[in-house]
Amino acid sequence: MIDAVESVRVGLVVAFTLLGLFFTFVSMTGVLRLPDVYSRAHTASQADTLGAGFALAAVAAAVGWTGGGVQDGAPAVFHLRDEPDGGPRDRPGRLRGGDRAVDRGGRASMTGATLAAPVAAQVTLVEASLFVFVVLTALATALARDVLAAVIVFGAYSLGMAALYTFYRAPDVALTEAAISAGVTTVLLLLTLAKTTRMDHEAPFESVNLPAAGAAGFLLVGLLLTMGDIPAVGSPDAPVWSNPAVTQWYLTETYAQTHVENTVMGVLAAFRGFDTFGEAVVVFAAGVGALIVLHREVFA
Amino acid sequence: MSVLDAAIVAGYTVTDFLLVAAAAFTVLAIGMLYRAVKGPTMQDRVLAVNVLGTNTVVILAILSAALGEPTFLDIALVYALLNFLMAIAISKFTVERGGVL
Repeated sequence: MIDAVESVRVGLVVAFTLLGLFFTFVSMTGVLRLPDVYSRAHTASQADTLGAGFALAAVAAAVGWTGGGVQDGAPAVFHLRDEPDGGPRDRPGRLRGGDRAVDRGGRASMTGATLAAPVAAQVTLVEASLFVFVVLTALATALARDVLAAVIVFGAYSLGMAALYTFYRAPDVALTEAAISAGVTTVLLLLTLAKTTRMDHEAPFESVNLPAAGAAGFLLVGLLLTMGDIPAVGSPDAPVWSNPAVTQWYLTETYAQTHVENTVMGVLAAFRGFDTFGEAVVVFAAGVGALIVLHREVFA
Repeated sequence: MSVLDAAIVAGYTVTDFLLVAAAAFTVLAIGMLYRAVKGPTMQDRVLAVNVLGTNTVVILAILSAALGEPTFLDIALVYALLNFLMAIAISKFTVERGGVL
């Protein structure tokens, strides 16, 4: 009986996802190929909404059926994969009550060498497509001649970054990216544009300064060369584990010393308070700059 | 056991399927990006970014299901709300210069 229900549910997930993909594909074709903005807006409002609805129904069928069961099921997914090397549960110095550390551990073992081949290929697939999207939007933002077009494409860039952060299991960073980049930055840039002038341009793209591009390329290659020395996420050889006594001291003593429940917050606000104070000065300076741009004396 | 690892067909789980679907949605987003870059009018770009935003919400939701983290759906919610705000702000800016919000 349970098996029958489960297979119906899996079938629903697959069917809804495929329908969502199909209608989103229809919408993409329409947005790309229809002749004018009105018909493009029509396909966006009809086909794309339908596609998103089906895809979200698939997500609902995948996570929203058993209520609490999903919470228990999530680690099981990783546990399944972690069997060969003992899994993150046996990792020394696992953080007490730190969800992030468990996440990082599970994620690290997902990308580990002991992983089954098909899964590794698909993880790379999501990453690769997101990377292409992010790099393309970043290039378009940098090269766009029209400032308003650059602002709009920069919004698309933040979409890709938020998805990438989510994929790397950093939901706090993804939320910040969503709130700051999509919301605040766009509005601030538009406000700045409204207070200044926008030139009309014939050419859609900026011409590239070759020496500058070459220098930037050298810098990029130099930075990428250092990547090989960075330990893998969750690696037991990472410097943070090389001195477990220090790590453990912060984990056990942070609350006693600072009365902040979140260890990361305690380190940020108390133990390295002077650094944070410096950052606060930078933010204050940025606020003053924004007031000057807006010709205001107070934020009201 | 949740549905995500209950159905293992030939070594593939629903998680794998959802990850592939997320990649496919991203590929579609790359296609839509052409309209955001090319234009030709600002309305086209706003429209393209709006469609891209909807697509991103879908990708975020699928990722949250695939990674087994239902709380990640909050990010999709925040994005849906802010994407709307972004589209309104840019539209209003193009219609009446200087009026952003």
